[in-house]
Amino acid sequence: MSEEFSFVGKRVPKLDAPAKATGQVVYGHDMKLPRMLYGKILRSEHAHARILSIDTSKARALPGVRAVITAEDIPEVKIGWARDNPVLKSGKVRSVRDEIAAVAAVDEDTAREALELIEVEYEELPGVFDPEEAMKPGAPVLHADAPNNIQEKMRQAYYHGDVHKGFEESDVVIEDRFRMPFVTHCCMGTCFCLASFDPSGELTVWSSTQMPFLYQRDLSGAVGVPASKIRVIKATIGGAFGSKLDMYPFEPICVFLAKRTGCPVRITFTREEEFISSPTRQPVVCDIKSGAKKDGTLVARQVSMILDNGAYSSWGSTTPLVMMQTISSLYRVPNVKYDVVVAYTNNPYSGAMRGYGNPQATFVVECHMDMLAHGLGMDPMEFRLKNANRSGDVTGQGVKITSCGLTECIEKSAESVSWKAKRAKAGNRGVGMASMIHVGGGARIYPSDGCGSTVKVDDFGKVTLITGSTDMGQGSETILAQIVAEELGVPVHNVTVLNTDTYITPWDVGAHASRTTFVAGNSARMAAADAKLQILQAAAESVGGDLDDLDMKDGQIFRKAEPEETIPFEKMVRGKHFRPDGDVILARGWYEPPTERQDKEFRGNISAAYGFATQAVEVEVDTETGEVEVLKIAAAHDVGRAINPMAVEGQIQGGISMGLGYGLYEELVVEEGQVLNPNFADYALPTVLDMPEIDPIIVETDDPAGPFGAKGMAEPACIPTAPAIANAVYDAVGVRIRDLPITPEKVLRALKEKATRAEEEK
Amino acid sequence: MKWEKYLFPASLDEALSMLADHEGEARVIAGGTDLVPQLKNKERRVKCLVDVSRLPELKGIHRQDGVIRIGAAVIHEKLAASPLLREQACALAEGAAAVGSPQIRYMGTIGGNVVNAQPAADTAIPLLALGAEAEIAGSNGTRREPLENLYVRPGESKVDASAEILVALRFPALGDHRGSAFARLAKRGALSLPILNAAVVVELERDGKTLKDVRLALGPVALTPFRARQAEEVLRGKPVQEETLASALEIASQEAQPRSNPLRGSAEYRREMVSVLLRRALERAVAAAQT
Amino acid sequence: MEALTMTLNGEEVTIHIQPDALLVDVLRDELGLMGTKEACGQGECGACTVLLDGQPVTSCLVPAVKAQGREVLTVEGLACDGELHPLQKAFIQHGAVQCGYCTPGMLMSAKALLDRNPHPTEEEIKVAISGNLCRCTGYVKIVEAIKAAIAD
Repeated sequence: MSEEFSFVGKRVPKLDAPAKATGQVVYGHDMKLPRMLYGKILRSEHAHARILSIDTSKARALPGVRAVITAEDIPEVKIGWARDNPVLKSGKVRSVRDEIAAVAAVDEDTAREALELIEVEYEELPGVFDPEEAMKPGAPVLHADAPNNIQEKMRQAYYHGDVHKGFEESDVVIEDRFRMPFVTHCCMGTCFCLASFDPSGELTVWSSTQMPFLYQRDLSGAVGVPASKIRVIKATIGGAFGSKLDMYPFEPICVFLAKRTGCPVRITFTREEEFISSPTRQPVVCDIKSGAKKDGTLVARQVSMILDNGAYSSWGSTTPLVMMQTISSLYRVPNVKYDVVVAYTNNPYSGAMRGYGNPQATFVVECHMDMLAHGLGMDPMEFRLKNANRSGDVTGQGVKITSCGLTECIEKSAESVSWKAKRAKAGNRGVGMASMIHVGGGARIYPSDGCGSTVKVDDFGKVTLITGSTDMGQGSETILAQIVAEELGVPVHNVTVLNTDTYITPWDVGAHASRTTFVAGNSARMAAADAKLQILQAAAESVGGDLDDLDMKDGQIFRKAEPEETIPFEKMVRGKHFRPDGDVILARGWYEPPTERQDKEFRGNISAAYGFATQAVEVEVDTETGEVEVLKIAAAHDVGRAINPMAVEGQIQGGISMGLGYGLYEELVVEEGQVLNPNFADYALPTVLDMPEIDPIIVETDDPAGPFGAKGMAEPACIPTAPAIANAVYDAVGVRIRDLPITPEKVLRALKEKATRAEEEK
Repeated sequence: MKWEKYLFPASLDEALSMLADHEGEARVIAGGTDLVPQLKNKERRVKCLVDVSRLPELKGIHRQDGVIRIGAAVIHEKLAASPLLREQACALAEGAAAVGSPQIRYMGTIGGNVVNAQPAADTAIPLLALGAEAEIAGSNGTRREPLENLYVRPGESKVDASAEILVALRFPALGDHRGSAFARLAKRGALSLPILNAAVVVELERDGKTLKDVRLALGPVALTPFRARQAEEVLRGKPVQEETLASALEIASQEAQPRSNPLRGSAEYRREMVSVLLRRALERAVAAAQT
Repeated sequence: MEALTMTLNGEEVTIHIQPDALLVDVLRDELGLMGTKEACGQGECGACTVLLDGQPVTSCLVPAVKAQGREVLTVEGLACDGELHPLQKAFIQHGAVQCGYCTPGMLMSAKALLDRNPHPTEEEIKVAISGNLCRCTGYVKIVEAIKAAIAD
């Protein structure tokens, strides 16, 4: 299929790789501006306390300190979607992340020393660290306007069909509780922000944000500068994975320090600060009840979740909106009920993290699918195939499934791990699988889900794509360059991509929901098509003849009837330009996916396409230590079309390392609101030695709405890994671990309990 | 400042004088892989550092008269790659190979590992099983101390790094009928601190079936690196056989008293792993002794 | 302040530093070589890896004075006369770079490996980069790239 394309489907090396491989690329952490100061933030010592006094006098007196600010020095503004997060805290602190004061100094050491000189008097208050505890009467109250600690805006309920009838019809009904912990992004590049005012009051912020335009708006509200005077530029960042999808207090703090000092101010987090203060993945406590008929038909799914909101609200507490989709629509399930309650605690709050709730929901759903299959005495793969979503389905939630490769994904991943031969065998090895559904064609969670593009072609044949979308290292720039090159008909190395400068680039809602390839890709394609039209029109005028007779490929224009006679396209561009009635080639594209927002009952088709994937895993369990070794992961991903197979493989492999960590190793241990392992020694990120053999299987279903058939796939790669591992462990040694991570200790304990039960039954 | 002066003595004597001159405000540094983070994080304070990493007196891995002597400034990478150690003190080579990461192994030293006084240190556990002795130079000359005696509690060594210098470690080479092995349980394949480390040294009788001597070292199961002496007693003089092994391992997991750690594992799990790891190390050590 | 003289990326360099300066800060802040990254400051991630006399070290833990009279190689010193090092070419060709923050450290660990062992096995390659964390790539293409560079 890809032979007809010049650049789509090709393993084009990432355009920014050379600059990164030589150390030339300037990351935000490398940026220095003249007169730049270094900012640092003083955070709370306690998880819940009244602030009795803050004495900054000694810090102010330290030579080299140019500003020290507390809540008194800035307007009272609360940020976050629930407007409950003051930029600098006064009166009370609610978590150890709480920002109490900030300093700007001539160097980092001085800034650090200044923080130590700030004296804060606290009156400790009893804290609450569990959402179920937080909802009980008499629990410490965090926010005056939520006396029962419930985040009422996220108390949600969804249903379709009738689960009670469904369970009555079912032959097997099972109920379980699952728990998923705090884990965190661990981007190699920590959070940073660089803010600078020019003399006229225009603010420029170099940010790591994934959503520059919404950030521009949020920042304006927080710092009181009109949005039209704010320029947001995304510096090159060392990873994001969703951690930069919201605006956090340190950013307006950086702006306030810049305003006060009249100098550019840069804040970068230390690694310890990153672990403590960067938002986590949303932890979930989940009760699920599922029912199926003995012929293998999935009938009902009832899910109830309790979410730890943490002290303030960020995107983590909105993950139910995504989790709902998996619960209602992964596999054909006629009866669904879902409700969730979100409670404030004095724990760290969660943000967006790759998958945005889907890894949690998929863990629960796919473990339960496996447990149903076992309850029915059915091969878990056959059970999944029987209930798989198919092209043309409209799910109970109104999700319209167009291109769908789920069946192919299940079959191909199973084959790669020799499922039939290895399943249900004696010994300590086993195989398991899990699938997933995720938006792959945008996600209409905001009035606009669009992306704007401009294509400019200069007199030398250089093509510049100016896109609203954001590249956070995942390689979207290269994908967009390939799309433009393909559509326009020029070599991909002629194309440069500029992104994320709100003064220059057209609007885009942000890099989230795996939407960039689809939405920005379609937008870029439209602009490229427009540019091609302009160029061919110029050619038609110049050489005479019909527009329809002409075409362009590899930077050469030719008549379709005589393809060997070519003219370099830049010649036509120059010809059009350098004359009294001339014009330059300037093209535009605005793409808004044909989707709808959800109604009040959360129904609606919010994405123009959906991605599917199945990962099948082979494990070996050491029954003496409980250690789980993952031998192989076969990851079949329906990506519509792989614009760049090398990049797709890279996303799959990277996503798997994140899913592997979530399943087996990672946990941010939080006790009494304190993070006990804010370092790489005790937070177990997978190293190269922990990675299994990976077989990335690209499934192409050629989506009708995607650019050249492509759908988004960056988040899906980390979504099914943990449940596939849990299911494989069950196949290997017959124990079901319901809370992540699946540690050796949990496996060993479960093996013992199983042996004890077996003894008792004798 | 993390330190005000950084000195490079040219000899051991010069290093000792530098320490003496600073009257307790200087400290020995070798690779710095433990010390530099401590100074950065203000867990320790020091005015002056005396760098011993290049001193010729602290280098070398040599065998003489059946004793292997290792200079305190030898880096873990050299220990891991040393053919002499692989052959005649395998547990130490294996332990050194397990230290954090290649980068840490190229900088960190065996001496530093001992003086940092962590009860589970990857080279300290094998050294304990090997019956190692330390040579320590001070203003009063050089003294020898069994390695075990150098530990007070985690992070606190009897070696006063502001006045004394650990010069070398020595232990009997393992020749015929002797074998050793190191076993480690950690969360990940690299960059991880151990949940449990174990090292075993055995000496078999000529029949290759009876344990003439055995040493079982473990960490972290106490404030200091630990020898499971009661278990050793049960095994000494006995044939290598399942029943004896099982009862000795049970005793070992009772006498070791690991504590629960929210990050590294519960006491029950660690106690159970004592017998699993010791068994695995014992089996390998016995196999090595039989070849 | 002390004078530090070292051979940096093949050139003799003398610079005045504070006695407690760390090598990573001297490289980045005093010498303007920003290619070496600091991602944890505790020697626990490998992003700051440079070569000291050919051996890989985490420069965030190395007192800069230790480099006195020695050879230091950073990512900026890999290319020669404008030609990229085979490792750099391989990383680019094989998709081993995503966000790129771990890349300089990975390259230096890989270079140290190939300099001491020109034909490593896959296992040896993995051990050589086991002290370098990456959150983006899952390491697979990094290992493939290093293998490909061996052939060169």
